[in-house]
Amino acid sequence: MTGFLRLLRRCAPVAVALAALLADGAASGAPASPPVVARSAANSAHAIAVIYPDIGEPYRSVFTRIIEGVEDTAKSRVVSIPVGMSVNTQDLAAELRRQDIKVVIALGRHGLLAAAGLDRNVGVVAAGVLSVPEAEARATPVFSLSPDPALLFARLKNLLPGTRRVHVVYDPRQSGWLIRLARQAARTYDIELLTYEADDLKTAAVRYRELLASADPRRDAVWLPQDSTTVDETSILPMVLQESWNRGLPVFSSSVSHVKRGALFSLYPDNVELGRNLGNVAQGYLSNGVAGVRGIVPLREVLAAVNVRTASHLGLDLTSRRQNFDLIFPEP
Amino acid sequence: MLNFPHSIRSASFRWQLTATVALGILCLALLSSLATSWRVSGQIHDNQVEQGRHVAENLAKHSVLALLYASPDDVAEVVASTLAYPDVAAVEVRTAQGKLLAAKARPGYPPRKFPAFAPEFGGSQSLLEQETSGEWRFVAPVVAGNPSSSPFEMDEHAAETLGFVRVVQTKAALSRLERDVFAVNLGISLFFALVFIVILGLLTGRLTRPLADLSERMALAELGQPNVRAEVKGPRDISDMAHAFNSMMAALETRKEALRAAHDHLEREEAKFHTVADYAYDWEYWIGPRQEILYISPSCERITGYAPAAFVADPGLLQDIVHPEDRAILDSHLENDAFHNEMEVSFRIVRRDGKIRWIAHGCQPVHGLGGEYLGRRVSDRDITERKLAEEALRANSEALQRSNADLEQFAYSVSHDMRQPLRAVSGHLRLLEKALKGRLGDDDRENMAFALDGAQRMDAMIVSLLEYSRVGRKTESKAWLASREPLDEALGFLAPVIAEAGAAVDVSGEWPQVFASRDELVRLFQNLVGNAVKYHEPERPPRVAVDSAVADGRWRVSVRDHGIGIDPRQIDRLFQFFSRLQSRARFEGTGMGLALCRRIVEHHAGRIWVESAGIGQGSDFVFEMPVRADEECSL
Repeated sequence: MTGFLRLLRRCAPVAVALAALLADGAASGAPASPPVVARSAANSAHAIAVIYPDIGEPYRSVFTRIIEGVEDTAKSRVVSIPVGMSVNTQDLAAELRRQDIKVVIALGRHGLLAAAGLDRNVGVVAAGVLSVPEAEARATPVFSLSPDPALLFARLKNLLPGTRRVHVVYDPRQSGWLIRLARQAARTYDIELLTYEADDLKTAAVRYRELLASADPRRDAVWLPQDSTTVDETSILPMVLQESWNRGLPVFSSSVSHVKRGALFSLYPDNVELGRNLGNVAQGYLSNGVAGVRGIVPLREVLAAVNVRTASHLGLDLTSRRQNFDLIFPEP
Repeated sequence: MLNFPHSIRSASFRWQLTATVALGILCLALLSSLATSWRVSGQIHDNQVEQGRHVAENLAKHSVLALLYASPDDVAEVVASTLAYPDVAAVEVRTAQGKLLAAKARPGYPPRKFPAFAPEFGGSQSLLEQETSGEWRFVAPVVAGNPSSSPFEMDEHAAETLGFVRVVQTKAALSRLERDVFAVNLGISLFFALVFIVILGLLTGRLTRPLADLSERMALAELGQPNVRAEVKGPRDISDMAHAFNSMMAALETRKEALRAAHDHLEREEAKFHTVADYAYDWEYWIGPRQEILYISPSCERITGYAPAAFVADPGLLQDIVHPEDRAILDSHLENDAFHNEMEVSFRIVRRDGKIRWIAHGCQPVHGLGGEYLGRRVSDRDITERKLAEEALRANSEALQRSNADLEQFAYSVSHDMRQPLRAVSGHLRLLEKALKGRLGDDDRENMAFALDGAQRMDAMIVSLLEYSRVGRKTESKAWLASREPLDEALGFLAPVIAEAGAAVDVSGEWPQVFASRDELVRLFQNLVGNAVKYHEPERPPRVAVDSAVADGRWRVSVRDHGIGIDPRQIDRLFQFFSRLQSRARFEGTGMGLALCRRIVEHHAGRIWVESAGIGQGSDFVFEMPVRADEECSL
């Protein structure tokens, strides 16, 4: 956590776009274009701030839904603060003090960078990111957007009960924490998790070619994690999807976009529910002074997406199970 | 100013218009083709460059796996498909280290060695590495990995450059397209230009046909064809011109007709003039200000013996033929009168045959409408015969005057001298009567009375003759006098007679001043009024009306009575010597009274006559004489 905070502090001096706007808002008391969106949820003296990236669609709606969830469950006042690429940490801290903010839900990369420069007496709950370096997430709870592998395997087993092995290529720097959770979950579901480390794309490509060459479609499946090193959507993904289609090899993913392109299924965040969870955690921090959780927490507030054409190609009949999925591709 | 060849300038309007527009259209077609080709070539160039970049980027995109696996086989297919693009001549795929992974060129493309490294890429975009006149060389990076800017990741991942591809694309297609575009544009432009020129030709033909027709009609009019009219049709300008042409032709023909009529009239007038002039009996000519003969009538030859041409050739002949003794007359006339007044002089000329002829020369100056002097108009009349007659007449007159004078002298002398013996006879008869008084019987006394009466009548007749002969010689000279005075004086002499007869004399009218002999006019009125009082019926007192009038310079006097009248058959004898229409027993008289009246009136260049409806109808004696009776007129 110390390293993570150090990282955050190293990034903090980077320009914070909110500075001038916060200064204007503090001076006038009623910002014309409010950089700080204050919503009174209760008469509590302390409040929860949600610092989120001031960014356009399609990301903005994700954060908006999360904030909705936060506001839905928080008993205290929730102040939403959009931040840009550069934030004046001092102005932000002054604003938080003025608003009597005791806990901050930092969403996304910008939110986390902005929160890194805050005083220690302000609690931070990080969310809205796929992962952070594990060493730096020990003191602060980080709610990842990567679905819990247990949920993925459960869904895999539900769809393909005969699956015995799951192949996954990953970058340990990004997805090491997730693979550990996956191994535990695999054991739970009687799955042999075959992991292949790759530090770069070339290695990943070789690994994929090898596993695809050796995989048995009858009992194997390929898991595509949200790993930017190993899952290149322009080269690796088409190759994997093409090859798996040719061989009848099931491929499931942690990214809903892969389902749309041909993966069998994936889990993706239920943002409102995630927000509710974050609100509960923040509220608990306000109540108890601690977050209650630490480290990287996989996403458990998930929705499911399925590609029925791929399922059909694999011989699956999902007619009676369609209601179990929130998104179905191809879209009718 | 452009100087076009005569053949162009003299060509028809339609040809010039069509040729000009056609030339313009052809130039426009050529220029538009060039401009379009240039513009399209630029666009094609840009498209080709863009296409080349896309081809390179596509090749790069599909070369990822090959570079990832360092497997040329993975890229062989896309290399082949890339070479299938038009004008792609060669491709190669190199690693980031510059190692050649795959390369292929079209058959015929000469082997080339390209740089091992590409220019530095700013991103994943392709670059135009080099452009020559014959080809482009594009390079595109082969990028792997997802360049992440996702707010869900803590680190931004840069894409990994695995290598690059190079695509050589020739400009054959560009050159071909440029040629094709130019050819097509030029072809289309020429086609439409040709169509337009054909249409233009038809249109100009349609437009200029009325103009050509009008020109043709004008040419006919120029050739003098009568009643030429243009058909009013076509565009308004042309129809207006045709209308104006027709109006002009109508006006010209009207004027021509009027001119012809005027010319005919002039010819007739000239013929008439020539007839009048050429057939003039007199010698007529017109001599100009520079003494040139402008006209001379043919009659000159009859009068002078010289033809008109001789005078035209030598105007001095006009003076040369004047008789030497009379040249001074003509010279004086020319110097003093000829240029200012209408004067007539007479002189002699010497004919060509040497004969002498008398010429009455009259001339007057001729002036134009503006008052300018145009010479002299001369009329020369041959008056030789008249001159000869005048000479004869003058001689006769002089002889007659001499004879009259002699006769008058003779009559006077006879009358005067005859009265002496007659008075002696008469005196002695009275002495004899006185001596024989009482001794003579009745017959002797009657005879004696007859003798005495005869002697007295003879004396009265002689006195009358004397009076007659004295008229114009022994009477008062003519002078201006009031014509009423002689009448009043005569009435004074006749007063006893008028009173005795109980006559009434009325005087009326205008009595002018006249140039006459006073005592002759007194004698004239005395005789006429006296006769009117004397010759009346005894039972009817005479009434006499004397009326005077002046008209046209002549004095006219009427003496009218209600007397016994005159038998019209006797009127001719009335003014003869000793002519009596009534018996002496009824009315006394010598029969010389009216003869004397006629003598007096004629002495004043007048005439006298009598008007009477007959016996018992009264008489009207009228005399008329000039107000100014010249001495010369008296005989």
